[in-house]
Amino acid sequence: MDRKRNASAVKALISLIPGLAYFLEGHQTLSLIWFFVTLAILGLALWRGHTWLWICLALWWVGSSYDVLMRYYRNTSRLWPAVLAALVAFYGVGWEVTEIDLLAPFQRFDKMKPYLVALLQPDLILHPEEREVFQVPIEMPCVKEPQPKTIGHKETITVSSGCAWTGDTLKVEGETLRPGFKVELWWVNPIGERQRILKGGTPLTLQTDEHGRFTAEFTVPKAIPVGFEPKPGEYQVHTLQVHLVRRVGMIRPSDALIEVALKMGETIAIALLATTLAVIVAAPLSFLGARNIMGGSIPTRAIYYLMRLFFNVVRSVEPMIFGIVFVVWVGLGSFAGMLALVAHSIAALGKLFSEVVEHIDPGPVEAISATGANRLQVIRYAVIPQIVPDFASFTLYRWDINVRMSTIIGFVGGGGIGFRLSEWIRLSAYRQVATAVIGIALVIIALDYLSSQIRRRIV
Amino acid sequence: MKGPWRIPIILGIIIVYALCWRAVGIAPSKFFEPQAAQRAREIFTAFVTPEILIPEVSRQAVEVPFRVPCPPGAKSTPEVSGLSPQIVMPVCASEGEIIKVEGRGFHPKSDVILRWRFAPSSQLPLGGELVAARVKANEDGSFEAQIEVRPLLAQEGGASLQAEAQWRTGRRVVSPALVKTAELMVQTIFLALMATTFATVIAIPISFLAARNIMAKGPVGTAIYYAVRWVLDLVRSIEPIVVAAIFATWVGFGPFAGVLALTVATIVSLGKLFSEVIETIDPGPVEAITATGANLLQVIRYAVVPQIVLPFLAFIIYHWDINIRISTVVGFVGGGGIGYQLKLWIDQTDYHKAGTAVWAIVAVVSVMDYVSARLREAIK
Amino acid sequence: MPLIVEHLTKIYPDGTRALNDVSFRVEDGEFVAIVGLSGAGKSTLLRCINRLVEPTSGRIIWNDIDITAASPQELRRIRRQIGMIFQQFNLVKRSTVLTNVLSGRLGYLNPWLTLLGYFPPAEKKRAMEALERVGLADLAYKRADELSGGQQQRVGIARALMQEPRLLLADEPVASLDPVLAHSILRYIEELNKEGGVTVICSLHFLDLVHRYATKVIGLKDGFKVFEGRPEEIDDRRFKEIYGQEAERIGG
Ligand SMILES: Nc1ncnc2c1ncn2[C@@H]1O[C@H](COP(=O)(O)OP(=O)(O)OP(=O)(O)O)[C@@H](O)[C@H]1O
Ligand SMILES: [Mg+2]
Repeated sequence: MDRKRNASAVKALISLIPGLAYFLEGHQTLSLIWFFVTLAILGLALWRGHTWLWICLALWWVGSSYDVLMRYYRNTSRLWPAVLAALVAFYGVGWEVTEIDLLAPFQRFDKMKPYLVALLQPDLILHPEEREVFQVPIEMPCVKEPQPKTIGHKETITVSSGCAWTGDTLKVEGETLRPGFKVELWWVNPIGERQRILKGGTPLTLQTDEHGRFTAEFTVPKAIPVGFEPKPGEYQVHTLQVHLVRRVGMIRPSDALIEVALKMGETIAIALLATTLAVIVAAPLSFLGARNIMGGSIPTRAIYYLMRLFFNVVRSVEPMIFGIVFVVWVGLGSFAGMLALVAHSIAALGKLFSEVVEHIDPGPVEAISATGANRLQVIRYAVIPQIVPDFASFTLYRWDINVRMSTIIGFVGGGGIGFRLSEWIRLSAYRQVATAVIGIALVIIALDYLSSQIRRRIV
Repeated sequence: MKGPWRIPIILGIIIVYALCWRAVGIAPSKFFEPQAAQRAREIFTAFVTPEILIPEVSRQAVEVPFRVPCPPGAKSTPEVSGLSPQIVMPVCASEGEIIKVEGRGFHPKSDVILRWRFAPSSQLPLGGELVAARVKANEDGSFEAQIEVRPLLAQEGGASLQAEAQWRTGRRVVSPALVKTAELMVQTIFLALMATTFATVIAIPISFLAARNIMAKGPVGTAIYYAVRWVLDLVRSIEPIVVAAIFATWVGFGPFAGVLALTVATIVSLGKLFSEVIETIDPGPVEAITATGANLLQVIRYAVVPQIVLPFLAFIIYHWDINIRISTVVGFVGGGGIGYQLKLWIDQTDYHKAGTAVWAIVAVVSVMDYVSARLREAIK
Repeated sequence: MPLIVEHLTKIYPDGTRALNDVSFRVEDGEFVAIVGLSGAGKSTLLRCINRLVEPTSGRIIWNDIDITAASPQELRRIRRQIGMIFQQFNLVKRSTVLTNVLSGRLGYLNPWLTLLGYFPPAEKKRAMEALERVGLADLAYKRADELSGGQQQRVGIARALMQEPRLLLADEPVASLDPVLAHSILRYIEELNKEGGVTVICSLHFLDLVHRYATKVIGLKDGFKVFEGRPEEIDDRRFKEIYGQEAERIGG
């Protein structure tokens, strides 16, 4: 009787410490998870200080004890209360610290719309054009009786009134202008802000007929500068600009397109050089990081551990972080970007390469050693033939990653397309951003395809 | 490589590399230019000595009201204020006058800052502070200073003089940079967690649309299959950093932009991996469960889900790990997490603090790398 | 309540004529063996019966119900009374043995509860009984892929048992097993047939097994029915008809 009571007391005690039961049952990993989850919720509760987090912690605790007791007495596991409490705690804090605001994407959609529109019409071509501008001063508002106004001698522009106010309808006519030209109307206010005159939301565009005539009616747009409203009895002079436009010569790529093409070339150059240099450095280093090569004596083993540590530490630092460091060191530009990629790639490749070296077949090594070859000869004739295919395929894989990375290393000043792209994003140059993004996508898809073809050949 | 093409190919490669060399502007000499070398040394020494513990600083302060100019009837003779520490100075003076301030009972050899402080007024709506002098207290904790009564002090609300003494206690305390780094690291981890979770929820249905064995049964299904694949490949070619920069203008700077950018990137990547898992499931169990008279949902629940759960889970954990790496840098473009702070510290040439952040990143990324590998092994 | 197959034809989308105008009748309680070369259409025939494969034309009538004309809902109700056993066992490898057996019952249970993974205790008990019948009760909580081939097929039988089937379709149930195991599996099926009165339609490769267990044989060749009769009736001429002129008779 007493022993039985003792046993249940022990069980109750065990159930009180999260993870202890699992530990006693031999599930080390599970008990570790339990331990860390408990610590994590406790840490979060201390950090954020919310009551609901403390409640979650309590529920987690109770839930885990409940599970243990259920397992002891009912032989079934009831994990969901504890798991639910933990999930609420983690996702609740996650939601809070990452400042998630599901409404923001909708409320601020106007900020995104220009990008979406621009993606459909990237800045690709430029059509050089010839443009003749006529200017008609218009007084706003009317302080005198409205009078039609004509400018020019041989080529004339007539406006139905020389004064107007926002929302008025004006009629503009051209006579004996150059035939077959496109006509655009622009409105310029006294402080030089220019806007295209619209009709039904789209720019008003006309054409001069064979006699060089055109007629148009339009509504005077909102153009009074804020804070410069005319006082009663006074007027300010706005300008109606009539542009005669004709495309001349050949279409040519836009400046943005040329820039993207050039910078894409630079980007690929960064990736190519970075991958090449990284391979040149990582290949020999990988031998120093291979256990089967370096395992012999204590000093070589020390080198092996150092190399492993070096690979692991450097690998976990993103190239962009190296980017900001190298930019400080050697200055803005592609060189810094390339160095950043080299630094990260050496470690990443070094680790992969050293694993390849570790997994070679020792048979040929023994065979060549048995012929009396020295260490370098053994590497040349027994090791290298075995590792070349894997090295090549990992190099190709790195090349893929580096092409992607080189498109963004410019965001921290590392040159290539990223530098221009980050500038355009900052300046809200939507159409240029679209050009760059589309260019990057095309190049990356093409290079991915290329490398998958090469990979098929060599594997 | 044999035959007559050998030499042209080698020449071609040399030319390509030469062009690249020029395009990148490689200049090893830049490493050793005196200024660059100096900065490099600074960065490296700072990085190997990150700011973790800093000397604790103790402070004591007294504040005395002061009027400019002297109100009628007040006399501008020195007065003693406070018990210990105490300041001896006039209670008022006129603009431009030089007054003498004496302090007693301060911490021996402490650094004392004398500041004018003024209340909010019409000219200075937020009030303000102005350092008047910095002096050092001597062994017995007293100091003496001559300070100018600045015209700025002639204010409605009056002003006051504060004397603050600072000295090192000799103890070391956790640096604020470390605390900040820790907080942002936790934010970074959660950023990756939220993005991975959102992405998983969205990627699961998408992956069914991108699985050939599910979709390629009729012409409509096949068309959807190719369309979804195409979109996935297209979006995958845009790096999350670019997406983050654009999202930062959309939803505003901060971790939410980072979450959205990582979500997009992860959806695309998980969608593709999930669909590959679905494409390789064993059709046998599907047939067997269908034959028992189960409905479509039951077939999915009992024949498809058990086959895909663990591979899906493995990919999800793997992406959480990847996302933590990426979220250490989305901050560079306004996406929150540790990245923003790191860039700020580098820009302010606060390399010791930057070092703290970098080591924290190394630690967290390495640990997550290990943990995710272990977890994926455990669920195999 | 016999099973009547009338003019059954199946043409796969790629044009393969897997079944050509096959008709036959199976009485209750029979043990029918379907024999034929690889590619003769045995699997197609069995899968047409529960419409895992949609017949191109012809009718299949069971219990006076036209299976070929059944609506999706009716089809599920019919399917749950027809057990099926597969050559590759078709167990869900990552689920436990018990879950695999329970999933045989899905057609009878509330779909929403089963989606949450809930099975009534009575069903669990029944599943344990089914496992006991095939001698696997102690492996109930193992993952299916931890079992040997013979054990997996017994789980497959237990899954079919859960359906309380009145008709059992078995597609080469023993082709992946060694001869000793083959007999033990077929003996379970025979027991169901003899004691439970379950009609069995089973495709088999080896004639000795056919002679030992079947009460009726249907021979298929290139999608045509070339033989229907008792096992004893298969003489050398008939054998060559089914298996082709070059075939040599072994055993049986
Ligand atoms: N899904 C399918 N699509 C197209 N043709 C198929 C399909 N399934 C089977 N076939 C073809 O139909 C014919 C009959 O196949 P079935 O699987 O019924 O033969 P079987 O007698 O079961 O053969 P085995 O003994 O090898 O299992 C074969 O020619 C096969 O290639
Ligand atoms: Mg078959």
